Amino acid sequence: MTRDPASIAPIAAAAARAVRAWRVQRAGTGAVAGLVAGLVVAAALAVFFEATATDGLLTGHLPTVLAPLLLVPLGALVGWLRPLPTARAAHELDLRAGLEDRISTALEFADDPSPMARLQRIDAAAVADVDAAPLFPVPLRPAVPWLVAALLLLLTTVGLGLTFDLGGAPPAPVAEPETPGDDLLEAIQLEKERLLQAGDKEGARILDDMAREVRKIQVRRQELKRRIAERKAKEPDPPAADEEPIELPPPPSPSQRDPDEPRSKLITAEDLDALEAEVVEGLTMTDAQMGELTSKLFSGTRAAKALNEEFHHHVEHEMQATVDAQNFSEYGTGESQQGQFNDRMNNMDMLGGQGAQSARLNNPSDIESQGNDMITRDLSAESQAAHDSAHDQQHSFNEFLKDFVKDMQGTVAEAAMGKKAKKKGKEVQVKGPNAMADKRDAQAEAGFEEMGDMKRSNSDGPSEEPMGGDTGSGGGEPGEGPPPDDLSNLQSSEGEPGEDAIAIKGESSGGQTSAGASGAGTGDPNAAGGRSSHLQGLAELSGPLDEVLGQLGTGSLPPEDRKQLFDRLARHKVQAGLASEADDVLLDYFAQAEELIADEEQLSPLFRDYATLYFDSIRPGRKAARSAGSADERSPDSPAPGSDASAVP
Amino acid sequence: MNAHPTPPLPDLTPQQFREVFGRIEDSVHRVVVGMDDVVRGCLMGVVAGGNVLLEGVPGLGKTLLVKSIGEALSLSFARIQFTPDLMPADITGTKLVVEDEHGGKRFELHKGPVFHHVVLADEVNRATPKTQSAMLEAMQERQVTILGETLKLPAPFFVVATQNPLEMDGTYPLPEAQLDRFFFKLQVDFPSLEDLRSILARTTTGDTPTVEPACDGPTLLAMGKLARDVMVKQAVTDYAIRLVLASHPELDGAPDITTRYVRYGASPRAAQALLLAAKIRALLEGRANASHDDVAAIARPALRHRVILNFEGEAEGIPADHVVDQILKSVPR
Repeated sequence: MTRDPASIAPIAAAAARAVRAWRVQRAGTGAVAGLVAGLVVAAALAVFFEATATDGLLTGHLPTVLAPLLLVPLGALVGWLRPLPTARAAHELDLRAGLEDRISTALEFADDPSPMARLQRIDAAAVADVDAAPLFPVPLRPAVPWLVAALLLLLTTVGLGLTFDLGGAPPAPVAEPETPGDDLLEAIQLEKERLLQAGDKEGARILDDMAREVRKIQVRRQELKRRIAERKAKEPDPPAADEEPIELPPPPSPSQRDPDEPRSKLITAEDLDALEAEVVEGLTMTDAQMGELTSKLFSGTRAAKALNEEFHHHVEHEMQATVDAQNFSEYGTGESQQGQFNDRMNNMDMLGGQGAQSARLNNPSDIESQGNDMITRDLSAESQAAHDSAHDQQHSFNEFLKDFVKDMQGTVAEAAMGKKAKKKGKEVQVKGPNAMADKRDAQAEAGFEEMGDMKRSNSDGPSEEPMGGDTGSGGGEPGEGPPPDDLSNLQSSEGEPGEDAIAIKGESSGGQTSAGASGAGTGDPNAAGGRSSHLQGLAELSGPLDEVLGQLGTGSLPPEDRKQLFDRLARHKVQAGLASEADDVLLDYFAQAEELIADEEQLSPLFRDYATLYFDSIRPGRKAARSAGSADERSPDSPAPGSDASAVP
Repeated sequence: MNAHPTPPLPDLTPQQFREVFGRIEDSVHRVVVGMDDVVRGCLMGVVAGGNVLLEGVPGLGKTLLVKSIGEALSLSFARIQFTPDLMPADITGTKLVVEDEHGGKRFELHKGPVFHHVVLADEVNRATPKTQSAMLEAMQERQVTILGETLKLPAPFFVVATQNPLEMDGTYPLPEAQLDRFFFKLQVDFPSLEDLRSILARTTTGDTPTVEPACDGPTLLAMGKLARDVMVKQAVTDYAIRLVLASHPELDGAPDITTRYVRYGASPRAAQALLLAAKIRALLEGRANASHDDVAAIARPALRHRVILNFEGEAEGIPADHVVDQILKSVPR
C-alpha cells in the first residue's frame, strides 16, 4: 500500500508537533514568569511578616516559601493551557523553519482538489518532517536577568530579616517589679519577731514605726504614679506644625448672599463722582482751615519777632557796651585817639572794599573828617535806626506773608479743583524793601543812612537809588559804619545796585543782597570774603540758633537761661562781627515758618510741598550760599545779575 | 472589431514554468549584461500581462533590453521615441484615403507601432499628455480606437516605457493614473565593473552575440495562466492588503513614515500586482504557494511608483523605496 504523496497527514503531523512544541515553550515561559513572580511575592511577604513581627520562619514565613513553589507550576499550567490554533502553529512553524508558508498553505487548502493544490501539498509534505521542538525553545536567556533580580531581592529581604530577627520568640516582657519596700517590710517583720522573742519590746516598737513609715511611703508612691499616669493621659499630643491647618473663612457663596442686598454695592458712576468730590473737598482748604493756618503762621511770626526783638536787644546792648568802651578810650589822649581813628578807618575800609579803601587812603583829609564824624555821631540814634530797620524788615515780611497766604489760598484751591494754577509762575515781589526805602531815605537825611541801608536793595537801579544793598551792612556795628558823605564810595566799591533785598525765587540775584549786607557788616574788605566769613559765622551760630529755635515751640526755656543764651549769642555775634540783625531776623523767621509747616499735620500734602518749596526758595541762607557760590565763581569784572525779583516757582 | 485568434495554451507545470522562464532569461542575458533584477522584473511583468516602466539615465541599455526580450519571446517589437510633437495617430495609426485599381477610393487602415507585442515607449514623459493618453488605453484596455473603430491589440501585449530621471525640462511627468497602470517600475542602475568588462568584451569584438528565441506567445500566455493558479493562503493575501493599506496616510494605523511623507497611497492595482508577482516568484522559487516573503520581495517594484510623496517628502528627497521599506518593517507578517 503506497501513501498518497499529496496526503495532508504528514503536514498535519508537522503542525501537531509544532503545536506541542509551542505549548511546551509557553509552559516553560509561564514557569519562568511564575518563578520571577513568586520570588517577588516572596520578598514582599517577607517584608510584610518582618513588619508585622510574625513568629518563626516556618510558621510566619511559610507563605513566603510557598509562593514561588506555587506560582511556578501555576505559570506553567497557564502557558500550556492557553488556546493555540493549529493554523497559527503551522504558520509559526513556517516562519521559524523557513518553509515559506508551505505547511500553513497546505493545511488551509487541504481539501482543495485542484492540481495546483495537490502539487502544493506534495511540496509541503516534502518538508513536513521538520523537527519542531528546537524551533520553540524555552526563552530562558531573556528571563535570566529577571530571575537574578527577583532572587537577589528575595535573598536581600530574607537576609535582612535573618540578620535582625532570627525568628525566635519575642523577648519576654519585663516583669513588673514588686512593690518597693516589701522586702524591707519583710525584713522588718523578721527582725521584729526576733526582738520580740528576745523580749526587746522597745526595739519592736521602733520597728513598728519604721514599718508604718515604709507603708506610708509605699502608698505615697502609688498615689504619685497614679497622678502621673492621669496627667499623661490628659495631655494631648502636640500638634505637628506642618499639620496645623489655617482655617480661612469660607467665601460667601451666591446662595448665601442676601437677596435684598442691592446690586448697587458695585462701584457706579455716581460713586465715582462722589468719591471725586470727596477728594476735591479734602484737597481744598476751607476758610476755617486757612484761617487757622494763617493764624498759626502769624503767631509763629509774632513769636519769632518777639524773640528776635529780645535777641536784638541783647545784641544792641552788647554792641553798645563795646562802643562805650571804645569811646571811652577814644576820648583819652590825642595820640591814642589818632591811633584808634586810624584803626577804625582801616576797619571801615574793610567794610567798604578795596576801592573805597584806596579812595580814602588817597585823601587823608577826608579820612580825618570821616573819623571825626564817626566819633561825634550819636550812637544811640544809630542803634535806634538799626532797630527800626530790623523792625521794618519784619513788618515788610509780614506784609509779604499776608500776600503769600492769599496767593497760596488761591493756588491751592485751583489746584484742588483740577484747574490750571493761574498764580503759578506769577512774580510775587516783596515790597518790604521798597517800603523801607522811604523810611531809609528819611533816616539818611537825619544821618542814619548807615543803619538804614541794612538789608536794603533797590530795584530801580543805581541811578535812582545810589545806595546799593551792600552798602548798608555797616549798620551791624554802629560805631564802625562809614560816614554819610562816603556812602557813595561804599556803594560804588562793593554794592550790587538794583538787587532786591528779598527775592521770591532762589535764582534771583536779590539773594546776594543779604549776603552782601552781611559781608559788609563783617568789615571784610571785599564782598566775596565778607560773604564767606558771614556764612562761616552762620554755620558757627547754627548750633546755638537751633537750640534757641528748638525752645520756641515749648517756651520752656527759663528767662534766666534764655538771657544767658542770648547774651552769649549776642557776644558771639558781636565778637565775630556778625551783628547783622536783618539776616538774623529773616533766618529766625524762615526757620520758624518752616518748622510750622513741617509740624502742621492738617496741611494738605499739596500745600505743604508748595509752601516748603516756597520758603526754601526764598531762604536767606540758601541765597547767601548761592550768592557766595556764584560770587566765588564769578569774576570780579563780570556783570552783576539782574535785579528784578523772580517769579514764584 | 478586428480580433486576434487566441491559440490553444499548452499545459505547463511549475517545473516547466521555471525552465521556460530560465531559458528566456538566459537568452536575454546573452546580449544584456547584468541587470538581473531588471530582466527578471520585466519578464515577470510580461508573464503577468502587465506593463513595465524603466527609469534610468540614457545609455544603460534599456532599449537593448526591451528589444532582446521581444526577440527572446519571438514577439514583434516596436520602438516609439516619444517627443513633444508626437501625435496619438503616430502611435495608434490612422486611416488613409487610397485609390484602388478600379479608380475607387476607400479608407485603408495604417496601424501604428502599438500593434506589436512588445512596444518600447522610449522617454515616454516627453510626449504630451494627449499622446500619453493614447498609450493609456492601449496599456490598460489592450485595444485602440482609430476614427471610431476599436481594434484589439495582439496578445500577448505589453509596453515597456522608459524615462530619464535627470532631464526633466520640457517633459510631461506621467500622471498618477498612468503610473498606476504600470505593473512594475524598475530602476536601471549603472552597471558594475564586471558588467562593464563583459559589455566591452561583447560589443568590441567581432563575435557579437544575438538573442535566440526561447519562448513563444502561447507559452507566455500559458505561463501567465499557471502563475494565476498558484496557491495563496489568506494570511498572505491579507499581508499584501495590509501593505497597501499601510501606504495610505489617511487610514488609522498608518506608520509614521506614511503619515509624514506620503500624499496618496497605493491603489488596489498595487495589491493585484503584489499578489500576482508573488505567485510568479513562488513558481520561480519552485513552490506552488506564494508566501509572505514573495510579497515582501516584490514590494519595491510594485509599490514605488504608486506611493505618491507629499511636499515634505519631495523637499527632503525621501526615496519611495525608503518609504516602502519602512512600510514592510511596520507591517507584521
